[in-house]
Amino acid sequence: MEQQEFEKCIEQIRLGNKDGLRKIYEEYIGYIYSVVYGILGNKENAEDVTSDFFIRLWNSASTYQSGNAHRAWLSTIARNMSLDYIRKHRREMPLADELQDVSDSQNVEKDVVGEMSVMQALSMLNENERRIVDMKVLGEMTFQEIADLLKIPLGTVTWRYQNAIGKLRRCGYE
Amino acid sequence: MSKSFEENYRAEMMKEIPDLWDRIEAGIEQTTAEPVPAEKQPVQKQQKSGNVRKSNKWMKILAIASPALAACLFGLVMIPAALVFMVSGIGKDSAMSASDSATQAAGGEAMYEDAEAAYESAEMTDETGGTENRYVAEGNFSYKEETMAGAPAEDAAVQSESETEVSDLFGEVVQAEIIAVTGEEVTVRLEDSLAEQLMLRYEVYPLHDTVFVFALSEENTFVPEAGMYCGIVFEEAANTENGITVRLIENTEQNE
Repeated sequence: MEQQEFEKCIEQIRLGNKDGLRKIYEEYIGYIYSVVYGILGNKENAEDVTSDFFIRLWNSASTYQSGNAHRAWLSTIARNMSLDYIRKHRREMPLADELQDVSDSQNVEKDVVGEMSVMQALSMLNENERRIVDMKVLGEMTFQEIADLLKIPLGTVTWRYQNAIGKLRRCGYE
Repeated sequence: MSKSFEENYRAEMMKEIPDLWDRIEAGIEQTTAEPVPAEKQPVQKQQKSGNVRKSNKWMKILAIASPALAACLFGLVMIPAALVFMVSGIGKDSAMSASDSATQAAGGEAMYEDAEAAYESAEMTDETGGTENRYVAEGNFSYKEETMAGAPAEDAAVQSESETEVSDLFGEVVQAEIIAVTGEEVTVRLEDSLAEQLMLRYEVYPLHDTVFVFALSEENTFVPEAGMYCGIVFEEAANTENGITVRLIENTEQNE
């Protein structure tokens, strides 16, 4: 969506016209859901936060400053909301270190496994690695942000990420 | 991460996107039906100029306060203010004379005039003397204001310092509690809704249990409510039922 079109939609929202929100929704639902899911790692929670995201967008369209890169603005809000969600529901959500390294026991072969679907390749990762890859790729988080969020050292995050990349490479993803 | 993986993964995710429109629409209708609380109004609309606020403050004082109580409180206010001026080394004379006149005053309108003059003097002095002093001086005056409203002296000191300083920092937008003023840092506790406004406007977000948090877009942003360039820090540890604690760190370089 072009910046101008986005601003038009925001203007419509400000005037109470749902069409503006609908257009943004159709354009960005996939992107926002991916970002949120990447950070939360749970479909139900991601749906909740994504819904809240658009409701909040409706209520706070006035805070949008014209001329901003709207995609980054949307992404920032989605990330903020996801992080806030984690903060509020921390007790109910397992930390990375509490997840079990189930896939580790499966031991991906050292040689190239061959072409696999993305989901198959991802299933080769253990929970910790998957979470970090999701946060990095879908959630667009930095390593430092991930380390802060998961409360693990930065080195551990990058190490796990590199491990994940290695496994994905062996599955044919270069 | 290789590009092909990222693209494939995102494409795969797109296939699983749920249809949330009905849910969103219901949520919107629900929020539209509810009246918007005053604190959720756009920030700019609620801001007033400093002069108007100050004048309202003094009008309130004149209307509410009794002269005898004011005389005692004035002394309590002016002595710390005078100490601050002496430490800063600027406006020393004016501060001392204001303090003297305050302690000698027996009450009545003359005392208020002195107080106002000293307040203005202190403010002018502090404009040259630095932000920290300004906070302290204004805090002292707010102490007076609140105590005259009838609260017990010590409680009022804590309570009023918070309220007025927040008012000075944020206009009338943020009715929140100041937790601490330390050097260039001002810690305030915001209600959730207000914290959300700041988060949205300045792209700041809190991280759980971390003391050091950061602004996403810029470390230092001009915050009109504070009238200065600040880094905004959300202190998660202080997040309570009363809201989230936000620390504004003045960027002296930019403000100069």
